[in-house]
Amino acid sequence: MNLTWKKTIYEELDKIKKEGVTETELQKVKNQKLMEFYGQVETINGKSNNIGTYEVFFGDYRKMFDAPAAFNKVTAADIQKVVTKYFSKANRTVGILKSNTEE
Amino acid sequence: MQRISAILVMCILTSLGLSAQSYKPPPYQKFKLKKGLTVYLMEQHEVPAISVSVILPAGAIYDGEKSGLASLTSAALKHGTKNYTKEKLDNELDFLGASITASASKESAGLSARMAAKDQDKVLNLLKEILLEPTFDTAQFEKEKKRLLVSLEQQKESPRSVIGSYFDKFLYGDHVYGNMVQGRISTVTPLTADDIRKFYTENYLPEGSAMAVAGDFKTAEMKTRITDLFSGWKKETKPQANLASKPISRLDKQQVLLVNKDDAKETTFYIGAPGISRNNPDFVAVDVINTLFGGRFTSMLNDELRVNTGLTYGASSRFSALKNGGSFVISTFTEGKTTEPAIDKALEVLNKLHKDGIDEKSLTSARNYVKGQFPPRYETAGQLAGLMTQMFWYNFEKNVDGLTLDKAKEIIARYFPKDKLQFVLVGKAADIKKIAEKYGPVTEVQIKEEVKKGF
Repeated sequence: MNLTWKKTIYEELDKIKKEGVTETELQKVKNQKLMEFYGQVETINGKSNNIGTYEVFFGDYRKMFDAPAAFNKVTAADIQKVVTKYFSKANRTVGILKSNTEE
Repeated sequence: MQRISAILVMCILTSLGLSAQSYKPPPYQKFKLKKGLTVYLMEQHEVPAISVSVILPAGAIYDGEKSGLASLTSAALKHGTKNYTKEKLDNELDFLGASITASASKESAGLSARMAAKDQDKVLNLLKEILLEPTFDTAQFEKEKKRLLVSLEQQKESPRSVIGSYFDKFLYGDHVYGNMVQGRISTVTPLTADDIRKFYTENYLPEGSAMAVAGDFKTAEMKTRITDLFSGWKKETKPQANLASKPISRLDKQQVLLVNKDDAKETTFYIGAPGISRNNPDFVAVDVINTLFGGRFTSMLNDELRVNTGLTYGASSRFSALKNGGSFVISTFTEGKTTEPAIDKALEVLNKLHKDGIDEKSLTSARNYVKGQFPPRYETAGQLAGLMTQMFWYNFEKNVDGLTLDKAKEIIARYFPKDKLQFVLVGKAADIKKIAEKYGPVTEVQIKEEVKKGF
């Protein structure tokens, strides 16, 4: 049971490493990220949070204004590269929460 | 150009004696399509996105004997349309990062949509199909119903999920405001896809409905677009009488509904009474006083029941306002054995409000609190679209009286109940029945059974 779902997840990751993601999948995520960003900057709370985040983590609050363009630049090859580099076995920590009852 | 909301907000602020930083919502245009749909358009250009809010006279008050029907009908709108299967519809919205949601409440049904401005043609067309051309796929309906039945079964494990339904039934009796939005297992089980098709035909009508669009568009273009898309909505007269306008019978004595849950370790309770309707001219003043009494974390109720005595994790009070009436409740929960001190403490705080009233300092603090909370509530296009449909539905009135200490005294005496309180206690009856009897005649029911049609 345990092994099946773990295997399924790893297989999906391996698939991205080998085959990459489709243009449709990539575009969908870009659209969703953009809407998420719009939602954040619609409020004063979201604006201040984003300004702080871009300043602290990305070095310059002004990068916030380029976020939509930056999302757009990402390619399927970028995704493949990042997955290969970071989603490795050595980087992996797996936590399992299960009840102690018999199946 | 209509500026009702601007006037309204100005009145709210001036009525509270708020001189500084008056908040003014953006202007909007209001018009009515020939078939009866009222449309509000508000331009908001900061973010290239658009939000839509639709309100329809299709809430649970029209369920009749088929409790749960309005709720299932709204959910089923997204089960497929003339040109889209459910799967295709979900995929299309998912791909665009857009959303369309539908739900029903006690009085009304509503849809809301959100999209990037560049996708408005696609998403508004989907909204039109969902609203005007749903197919109510039978297989999807059966799945939805099954999920609802499981959820109704699960809710019996959770006092806080069901206490509101018990209370409304107890308070409103036979009035349609006692109707349960999600329905009962016995009424949901026999529902069919034909039932929801019929409910849709009878209640999803343009007359009496409103659509508000807020966001990044040009009003003239959006007016054309909305007119083109929604003018084909069939005009029919709603056959139902105005059910909600029937008088709500006042309860003439204090009484207790005890909902037994055998394995309960704590008692969850409401102490309530009739409240006010949403268009009551004193609505804002009542809200300010309630903020002090039980609305915010540092309220009188939370201070006493949580901070000073440690009887609960949180205690609050609220006015739930509908079109033709409303309720007031104090709600909290406590360990089974502290049921009595917790109820007594809540009553003591209510008596204190009547006896001692409030002082200038706390009134100022509550005004500031309400004022401070106001602008962030109407920031996003979605919130503004929602505000417009709420104004349409409830027909807010202007509030011109200032809230002085004298006026506050009047508000407390008039709107905060003193007696004939209605108690609903969910807990272990074997342990708390004696206590319950202290507060009035007790009717006992079982949480495992469903909410009765009358008590």
